[in-house]
Amino acid sequence: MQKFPEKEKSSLQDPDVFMALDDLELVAKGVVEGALSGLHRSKFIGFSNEFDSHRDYQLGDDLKHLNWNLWGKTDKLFIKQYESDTNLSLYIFLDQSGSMLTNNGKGSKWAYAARAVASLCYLAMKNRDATGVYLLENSIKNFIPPAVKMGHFYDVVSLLQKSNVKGSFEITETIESIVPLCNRRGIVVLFSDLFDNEEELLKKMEYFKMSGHEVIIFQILDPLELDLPEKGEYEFVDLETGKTIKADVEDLRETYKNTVNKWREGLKKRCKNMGIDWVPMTTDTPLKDVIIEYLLKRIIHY
Amino acid sequence: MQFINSIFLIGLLAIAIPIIIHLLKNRKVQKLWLGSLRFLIEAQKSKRRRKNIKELLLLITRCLILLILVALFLRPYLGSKQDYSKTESSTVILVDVSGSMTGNYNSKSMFEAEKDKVEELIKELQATTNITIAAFSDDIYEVQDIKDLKIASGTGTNYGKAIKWAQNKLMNGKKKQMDIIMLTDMQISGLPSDAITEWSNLINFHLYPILPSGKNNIGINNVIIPKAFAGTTHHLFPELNISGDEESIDNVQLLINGKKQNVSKFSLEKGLEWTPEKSGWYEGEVILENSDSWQFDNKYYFRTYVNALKSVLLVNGYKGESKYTDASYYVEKAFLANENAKNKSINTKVTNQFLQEKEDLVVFCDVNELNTQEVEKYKTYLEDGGTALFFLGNKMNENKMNSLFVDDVFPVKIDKLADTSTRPILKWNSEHDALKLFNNRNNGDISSIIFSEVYQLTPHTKATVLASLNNGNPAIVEMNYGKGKMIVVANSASRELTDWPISRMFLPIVRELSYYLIGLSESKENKEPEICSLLKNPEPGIYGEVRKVVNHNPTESSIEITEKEDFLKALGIKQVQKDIVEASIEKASLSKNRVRKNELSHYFVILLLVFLGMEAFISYNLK
Repeated sequence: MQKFPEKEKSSLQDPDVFMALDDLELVAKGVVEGALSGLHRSKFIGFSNEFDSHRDYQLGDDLKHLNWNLWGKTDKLFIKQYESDTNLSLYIFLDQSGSMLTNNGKGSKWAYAARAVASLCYLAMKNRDATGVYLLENSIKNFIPPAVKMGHFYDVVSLLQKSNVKGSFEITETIESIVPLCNRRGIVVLFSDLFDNEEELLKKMEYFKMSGHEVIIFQILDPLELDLPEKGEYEFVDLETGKTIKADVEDLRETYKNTVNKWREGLKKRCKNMGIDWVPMTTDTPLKDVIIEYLLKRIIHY
Repeated sequence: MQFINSIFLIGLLAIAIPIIIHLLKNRKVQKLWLGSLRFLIEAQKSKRRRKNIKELLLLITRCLILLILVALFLRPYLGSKQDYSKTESSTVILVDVSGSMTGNYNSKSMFEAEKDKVEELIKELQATTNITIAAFSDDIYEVQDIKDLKIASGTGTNYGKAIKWAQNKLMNGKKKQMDIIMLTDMQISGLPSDAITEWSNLINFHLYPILPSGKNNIGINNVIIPKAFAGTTHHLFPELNISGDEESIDNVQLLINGKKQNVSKFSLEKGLEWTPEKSGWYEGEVILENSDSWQFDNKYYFRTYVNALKSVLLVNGYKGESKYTDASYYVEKAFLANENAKNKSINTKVTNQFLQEKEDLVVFCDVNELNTQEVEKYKTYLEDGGTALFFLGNKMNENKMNSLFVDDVFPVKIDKLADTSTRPILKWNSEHDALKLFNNRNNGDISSIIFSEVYQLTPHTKATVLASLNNGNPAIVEMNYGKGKMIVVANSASRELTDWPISRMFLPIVRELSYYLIGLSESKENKEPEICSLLKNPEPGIYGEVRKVVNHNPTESSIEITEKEDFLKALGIKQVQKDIVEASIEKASLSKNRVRKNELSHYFVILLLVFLGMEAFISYNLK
């Protein structure tokens, strides 16, 4: 696998950079390697125990992997090679509703989430974690089940690139249909703005928690969805319904901000009560936070 | 409620400004896409209603501020037109309607500009003063309405008379405030020779000069129209009045019966060429196409009669060596004066030329006899409708001529030469077509004609005596033969015998006899054109281009304008006189500063301050 240049690792932590790139692979590698480079080596990284094959000993190889039995029989030095085992299953749900297309800055919420999904996949692949990606549409038709194999990351990238984001639908029902597919305990990650019936959605996510999964909800919002522009007359358009409202933001800004914050505080509280990790993000947040949050959760799970 | 400055009512349109701003404000918005509007709707619920009420209040307040501003300019006051100040004020507007006001004033006439100004003044002043409008030129008269103002064509200006009339009018109904407003072009010719001395200090005088805009106002005053004959080229001479510096006039058109005549390069010396084809009435129009031409004086209409050119054969009985002793000299000059005429003169000795061609009139002057061949031709000529005019000399062959008398082709029988004493014409037939012109003594006095050495004549039984001398002897006798007609004058018009040829009665009477014989006047219709006034009676004289000046509504088209200071001085208006407005017509403004007792302006000022405060308060709170 291609090694990412050291110099560019840090630059890809900047949302201005990774949101400008269309190459999800490049973004994922950059983000993950950039994030990992700042961490201490974890005991979980590279864990495996299943024998696969032998190869000739080379100078510098760890002697603990030397097959002494084979040396006794053949008088030649062979190193035992192991097939990595899957450590855990990672289920990533990505909200495909039209509201995810909100784009009042560097890119849409969906584009940001897609980059996060790719990055998580890449990281999981490096750790031999089985990663499945489920696109939450009006039914569950576009998904990749968890697997650890060569090319799995590219399948995920391909799925993301071909996906279609539009419309308004109840993703709670879609999530409900995914439940049977997540039979192995692991980490369930949801990328959504939680604009669609969030009460019901949290209940569904609570079900995963109760089934033994660790649940992380990344709530991704556009910066302007949190804080309206300072002044001016605007025609606000609902991306899902097309409904419009004309308003002077100068009058509404404070009220709006308070209302949204109140709503988010409520979400935070509910998630905490359910034992769900709720991670608020905006499209100008560095993706490193997503990686770190995942790794922390992985430690807990393991 | 009345308004002093009602013109500012137009300011009400300004109310549209805040309304438009209000409407535009709601239209100029940017689009912002959000994932959900639920929080926005929630936030709006509490804000919107309050804001809408405030915005409406703000709009209403701003509209009211504009209304109050307009009202301040309008200067409203309570009361009817018959309020205190009006009953104490009187104004006479003197409007110059003399001919000179037909001059140009930009795109209209000075008179039109003057009327506009009067209308404006009435609107301004009618609420505060009693107005009397008077039109003046040579004379002055009061008018009830602006529509009654008419240009007094052909009149001059008399400022003194107009001002005295206005003074009397004001002093008769004496008020606290009295004004005379005069609109005029300040013609020098209209100023009184002595300044007006009886000025009342109570009367204010306002002068609105309305001056012609062009440097060179030009009008056609007269057109000299020749007495015209068919087939002959004539020249019409326009007489132009030019005010200001003289400039070249080259675009003068002549229309005859509506058809433009081909006039090459016009010059005042050359005039307008015109060649009528046939006899009859012609209606013409001389048009001055010049940017400075006067609106009402750039056209001159005329109607004139064109005579058919007649051929006259003058037969001289005696051809003297000296023209001053030639008996036929004056007759010949009378008939042959027009070089264009087809007239010719022969001597009786050249008999082969006698009546060789068809003539309209044969004039025998001092012809003492006709030979047989000539008699025959003469008879045939008369039978066919020819006419003959005889001027008898004092050496007639009585036998020969009396044989003509016997043959009914000569109206008188020659008996003998009368005494040598001079005899005036005493009686004449004033009803006869040939002589009725002279019923008006201004056209000539027949009794002033004096003959001497006249033959004693006996009129033919078929003849008519038109005039006779004081001894009863026929002086002019007429008789018909066949279709023809002849007249005998018992005198040869020789200076040796009478002074008649050199008197002013010679040409008129010869002309009238000739016209009667050849019937020139019979073909004329006796109708007068409406648009011009031709002289009713024909001009004296026979042929030739007799220039006839026709005066048609001559206007005061020659402007000589005085300076304002001189004008006022000439009228006796002293410099110390108060309130002399010296404004031009565009900037004229009168009585704007009069403050009314019952004006409401101060209330509106207070209201304005209140609403301005409200506007500021609402604006601040809206944010």
